[in-house]
Amino acid sequence: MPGPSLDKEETVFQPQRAYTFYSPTKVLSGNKALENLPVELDAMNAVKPLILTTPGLSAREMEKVMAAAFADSNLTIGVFAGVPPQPDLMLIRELYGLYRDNGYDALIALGGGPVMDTAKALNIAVSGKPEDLGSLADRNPLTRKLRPLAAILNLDLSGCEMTRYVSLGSLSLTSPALIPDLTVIDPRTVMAEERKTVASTALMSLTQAIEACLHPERNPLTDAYAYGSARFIMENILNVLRNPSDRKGRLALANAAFFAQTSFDNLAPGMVYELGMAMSRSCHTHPGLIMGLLLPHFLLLEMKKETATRKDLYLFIGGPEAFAGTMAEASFRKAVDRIVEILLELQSLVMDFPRSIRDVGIKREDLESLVEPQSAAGVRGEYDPQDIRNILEKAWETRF
Amino acid sequence: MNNYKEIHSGSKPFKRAYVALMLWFVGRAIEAAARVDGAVQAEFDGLPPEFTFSLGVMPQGPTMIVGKDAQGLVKYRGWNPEGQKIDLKMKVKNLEGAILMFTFQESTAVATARNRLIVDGEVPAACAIVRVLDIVEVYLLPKLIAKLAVKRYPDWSFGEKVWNRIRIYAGAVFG
Repeated sequence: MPGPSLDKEETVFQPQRAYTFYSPTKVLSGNKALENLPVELDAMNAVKPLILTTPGLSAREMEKVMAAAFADSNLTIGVFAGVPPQPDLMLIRELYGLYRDNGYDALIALGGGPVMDTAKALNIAVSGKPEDLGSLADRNPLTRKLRPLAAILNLDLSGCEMTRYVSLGSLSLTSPALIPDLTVIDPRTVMAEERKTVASTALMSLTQAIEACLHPERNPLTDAYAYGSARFIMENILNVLRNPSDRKGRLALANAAFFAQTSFDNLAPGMVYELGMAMSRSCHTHPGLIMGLLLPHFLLLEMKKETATRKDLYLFIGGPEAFAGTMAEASFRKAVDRIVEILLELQSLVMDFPRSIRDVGIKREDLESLVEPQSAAGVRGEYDPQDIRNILEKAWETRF
Repeated sequence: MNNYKEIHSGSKPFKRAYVALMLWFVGRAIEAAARVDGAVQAEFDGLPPEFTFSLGVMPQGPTMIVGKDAQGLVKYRGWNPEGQKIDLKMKVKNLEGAILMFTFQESTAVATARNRLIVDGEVPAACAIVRVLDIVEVYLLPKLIAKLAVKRYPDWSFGEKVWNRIRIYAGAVFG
């Protein structure tokens, strides 16, 4: 198999071209990070936050953790623990009334996916009026500064929590103003989740990181974030799955998700990400699992290309020592092999981990509809249809 | 609305009391150490006349205030900042951060690195006060614990350390 074309000029963190990078969030990570929330909110002139979370997280006594974090702050906090898996505009309207009637002035999203989507959409409404949601959906940019929004991450994430994207039913919104002001990664909220959930979130982050590091428009900062994310995941994913009480490992995976999402947010979404999201919509499986199964095939396709491939991918995947001990010509292939090894390990550690996209309910006849950009199930973004077809067919035929 | 409630943030009276006691004792120990230890006195000599600093916990204390008087003598000035001209305010962002510091799980330097402190004032003065706190902690604590609380444990003679320790403890307790 021919190796990638090697460009001696291509080095990590090369100050190439002009670029922009945007990450307005302040990160509070580590032991007792939650306790900083009152001071940080106060610095943003917020004294009465409303916490949004799910009934599931509420049942795990997360409210008590939050109350303890706010103890001694003299603040009153509201808790709404009824965010459903599929939030809608009706919920936003109800929460809008709740927020206004009770005098709240900030939002805290405790949990990923639907909680963050609800918090971002609600923040648009409470910072202006509910009609602003429709206006943003019609591609009119947000003109006012939003109220403070804090995100408390865990390991059950959708991949877009720390980004400018919101998905609320059929409504898709995009604005850099939606990125949370604060990100809190505390060992008490980054709890041990089901192994399949942790594996899915980690594979989603790994996909975002790898696609960012291979992206044609990558820049030194997206590289740095992608590198941090990939290293955290590769060094911790198996440990966390073997030993769910590994607090340090869980914290590293949550940090990796933040890094990957920030990198991803500064570039256009990649092909594997889009395919994973499109397939997930039709088969209702966590997109991270599908992305993990597609990733090796995407990388093999990249490897065959004469251009556009970077020679140091294995630095991200294998780390500096393994990278230094590998011949440049074999480096990219080693990166692919290492990812396949991880997938095989995940299968042995996680019950019901799919071995192929066939296992998640994708039918062969559905594959072609994914290639069509105009179809409802089609992949968003502009990719070579032949590339998509190749990846899907390989993924269909392969059982890891 | 279902699934909604308001929570009033409670309090942590025991932790507050512990931190208040530690701040009171450390404040008085700084006053005593300035009389006993040349290095502590030298640090204060390098600060402006009548320099006063506070170390407290956000948002509502406890706090300790220590400063130099007109003669250059270092005095513990109690817990109430009202009516006092304070040149340097060092504030721990929350009670839990203060507990980590005053149970010596984190040194002052580590707490600063982990962004647990807000410093309102001149950075060189803050560095001098952190060095003073380190020296006082070495006197107040057994070596095993003090090694956790300070950046570098000093290489002092045993006799000098014990004699100064007795004088500082006596000064802190009896004034």
